[in-house]
Amino acid sequence: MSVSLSALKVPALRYRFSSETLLKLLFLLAALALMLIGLALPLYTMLLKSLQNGAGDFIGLANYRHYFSTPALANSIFNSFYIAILTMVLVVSLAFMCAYGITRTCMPGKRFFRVLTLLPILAPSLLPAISLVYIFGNQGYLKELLGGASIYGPIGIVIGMCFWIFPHALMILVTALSNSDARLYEAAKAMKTSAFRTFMTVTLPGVRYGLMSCSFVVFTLAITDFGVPKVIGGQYNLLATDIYKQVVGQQNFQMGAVVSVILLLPAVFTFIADRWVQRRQTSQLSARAVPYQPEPSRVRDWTFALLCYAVAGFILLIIGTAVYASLIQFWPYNLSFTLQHYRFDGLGGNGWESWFNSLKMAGGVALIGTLVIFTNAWLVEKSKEFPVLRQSVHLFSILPMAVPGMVLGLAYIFFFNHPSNPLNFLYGTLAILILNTLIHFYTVCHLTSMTALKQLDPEFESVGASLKVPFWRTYTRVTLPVSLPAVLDISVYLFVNAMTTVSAVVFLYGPDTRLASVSVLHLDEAGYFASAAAMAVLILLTSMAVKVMHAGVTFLLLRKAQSWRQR
Amino acid sequence: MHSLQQSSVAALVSSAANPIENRKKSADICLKIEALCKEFGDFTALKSIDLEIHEGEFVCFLGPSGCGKTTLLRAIAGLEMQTRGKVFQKSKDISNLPPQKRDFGIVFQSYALFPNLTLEDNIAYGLKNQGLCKSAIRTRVQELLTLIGLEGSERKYPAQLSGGQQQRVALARALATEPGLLLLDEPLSALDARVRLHLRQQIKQLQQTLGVTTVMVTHDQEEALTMADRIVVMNHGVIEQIGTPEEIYRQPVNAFVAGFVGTMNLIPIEVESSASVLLGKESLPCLPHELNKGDQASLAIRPEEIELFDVMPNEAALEARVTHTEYLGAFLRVTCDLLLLNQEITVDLQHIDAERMIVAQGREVFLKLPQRYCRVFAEQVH
Repeated sequence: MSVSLSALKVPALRYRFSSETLLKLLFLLAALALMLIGLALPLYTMLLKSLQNGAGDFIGLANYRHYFSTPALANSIFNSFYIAILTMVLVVSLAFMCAYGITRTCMPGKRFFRVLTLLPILAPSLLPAISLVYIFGNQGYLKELLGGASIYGPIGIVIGMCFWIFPHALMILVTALSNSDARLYEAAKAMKTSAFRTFMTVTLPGVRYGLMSCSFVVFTLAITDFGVPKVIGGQYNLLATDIYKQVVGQQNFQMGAVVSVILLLPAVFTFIADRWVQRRQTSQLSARAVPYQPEPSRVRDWTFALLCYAVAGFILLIIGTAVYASLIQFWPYNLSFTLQHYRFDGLGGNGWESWFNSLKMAGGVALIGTLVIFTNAWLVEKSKEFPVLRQSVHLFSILPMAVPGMVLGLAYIFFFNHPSNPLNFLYGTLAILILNTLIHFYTVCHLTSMTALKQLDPEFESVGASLKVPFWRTYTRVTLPVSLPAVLDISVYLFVNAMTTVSAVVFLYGPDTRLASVSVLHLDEAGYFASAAAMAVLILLTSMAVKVMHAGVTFLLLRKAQSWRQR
Repeated sequence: MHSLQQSSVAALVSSAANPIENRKKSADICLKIEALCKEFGDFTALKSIDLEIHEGEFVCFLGPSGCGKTTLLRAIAGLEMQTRGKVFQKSKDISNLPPQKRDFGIVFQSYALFPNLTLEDNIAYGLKNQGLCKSAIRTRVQELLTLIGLEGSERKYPAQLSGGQQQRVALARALATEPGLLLLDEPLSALDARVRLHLRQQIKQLQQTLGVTTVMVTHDQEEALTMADRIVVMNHGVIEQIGTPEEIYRQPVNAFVAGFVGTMNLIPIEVESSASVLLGKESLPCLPHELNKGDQASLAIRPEEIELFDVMPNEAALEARVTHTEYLGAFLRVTCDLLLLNQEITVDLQHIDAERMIVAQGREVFLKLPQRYCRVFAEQVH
């Protein structure tokens, strides 16, 4: 690749700089600057910090030696892996069965089930943990089911993580299982192959990359999650919660940096492995494949239906509990209905103000983020000049996925809070929260944009240029309108994630910019469980409202555009 | 079907007197390409291309896929930057100009019509930038719609049109700004055979009416032969031959062009003298050439240029046995084995000749290879 890049570079340099080329260069440089300031430099500062002592002197690997010689700290590595692998096995097998039910059986209520499984994504990961406390905690109404075991610890963490990671896994596996070729099944049938053998030789090989990719995603989400273990982890230490404890609890920034680097490693490795698998996955399915249409089978359909309904029931139980807890006076002594928990009066925190902050932040991320990410993706995919620059922007756009939120948040403290940094003024403002969240969720949006852009005719830009129309006009008149569904998807994805995220922003809010999700955390820490549940439910409702709005707008747009979209 | 088309190509070419060509020779040069090279990493797509295109001319780049014809077109448009070499448009050096600073209209294989814009907006896309007033734009759009036979469809979207109609809209959009050069990148290859035939004539007619200099890329030899004033045959990034359709078909300069355009028998021979070759042991007179005695070479002759007899003729003839016959309507394609060489050779028999002779599988026949058609080429290096 490097050969072709350098070969292309020479004529690119000779290219006479027209105003349009210059503008593209400026945009690309701005994109690169964003990535440097928002990702590379903070991470670099954090790496340096982990090699320094409290006074800022370089001490080599001494911090790491200290870390590994302190069992209380190093144990977290084992714990984190244990939890992540357990979650991975549980979620992937459960999600596989449900995805199989959706794609390969005629079970009733598929659509309803799929809508329901979206709910956990719309809530902060703190919500399942709070609900679990109400269900299985010391005064939980199903406490007996645990048979004396405590929900505070590995059990609670794993159940909570399963709840909010399940939808992610389900989406990947439904996609993988949808890409089936009916002809293979017909061939197997024609050769009188048993159902089991068909499953082992046709179905499983077809989804193996999907399964691998799904496992990586679940593992990464589980090992980096902060919300669930924070609320329900009890004395069980994980890497993600250790960072918080070191930084917020003990003000030991160096050790926080060390734990961050250690947490970064498995995330980076799974990221690399996932990219490797994805590269292999291409063109598995020929264009002539006929999609598989399941035939009804009573026993099979109802088996999967019952399994999926059980999962749906559990999701409803968790969310229902949070809603219920937020609406009663005082569990379990006074069960009368009240709305007082939604007033958040005199509870420390900023109450409704934090909700407005979250709205502002999420709106900002959705608006700015969509514009920036889609435009950058367009520059990377659709322009011809500056191949080296475009490649680096692309690489930087894929990297954020490998960086856990806690690590990114801490890295921002080190970088932006440094007194000699000219960007220091950003610290504690809404702007830094927007920047951080934008970078945190950059990758998925970038990849979505790239996919949408690749579906467009590659010659739109050439036609525009041949007609002497400046590129920005073709971008606004053709590219953006045609990609509008994808653009809306991105903006909603950003909004919902900005609304629900805790991990990165927990380090970065200022006195006036406390967010709703952070409020949930603080209310829970302070023992106002009902108010914490109320705030979590509020976030869930906000996300749901936005999601519904998005569905409505998309529907209207597509109907309006139907005249030209129809084939 | 395929061979049928080739025969019709032969018919078209032999009848195509070309008075236009001579006129063009003296005309102004519209486009000049000098020592143009394009490399993609280790791969050389174009090796030092030199070419002149005259004002008002219709030129086709013809070649197999991967021969560099599209790259050359894109280099002319500025969509692909050449590694070395220069491009001049009307004696102005445009080598380093971006596409928007060059003067051309282009139609792509996919048409690249903007799906969210109406036909009117698509065609007016480039006009809006020229500072024309609204009514002038509307008049011009109407004019173009009439020209392509789609008047009254200005409110339609591209998806509501057939492939052929979309193609014409793309053409109108490219012509709207009255460019000095029209570039067509395989404009017909996405259409089905019948529409393609019809559009071929339409495009050619339009080009002649407007007199716009046109460069078209195609891998379809029939398209090139019927539409072009001059054909540029390309292979492996070099120009193999430039000439009128008739020159390309009747006087190919090497074995590649001979084999690529139309059907050609390429028979391995040994050079005997400057006007004869050895076919096995048999000496055969041929067209004069510059190869050395003893060289291994190919003798090229078209199926319709061979004379076939079912009884031994008076003159010297080659004995052959029929291995296969194909009935193709207008003519009969006879495949036979030359007895002294064990070499397959294809002969086309006109319907009238086929009727009065008994030519069936296994029969012995006699072939005469007229000297004026026996071209001799060195073996291809590629």
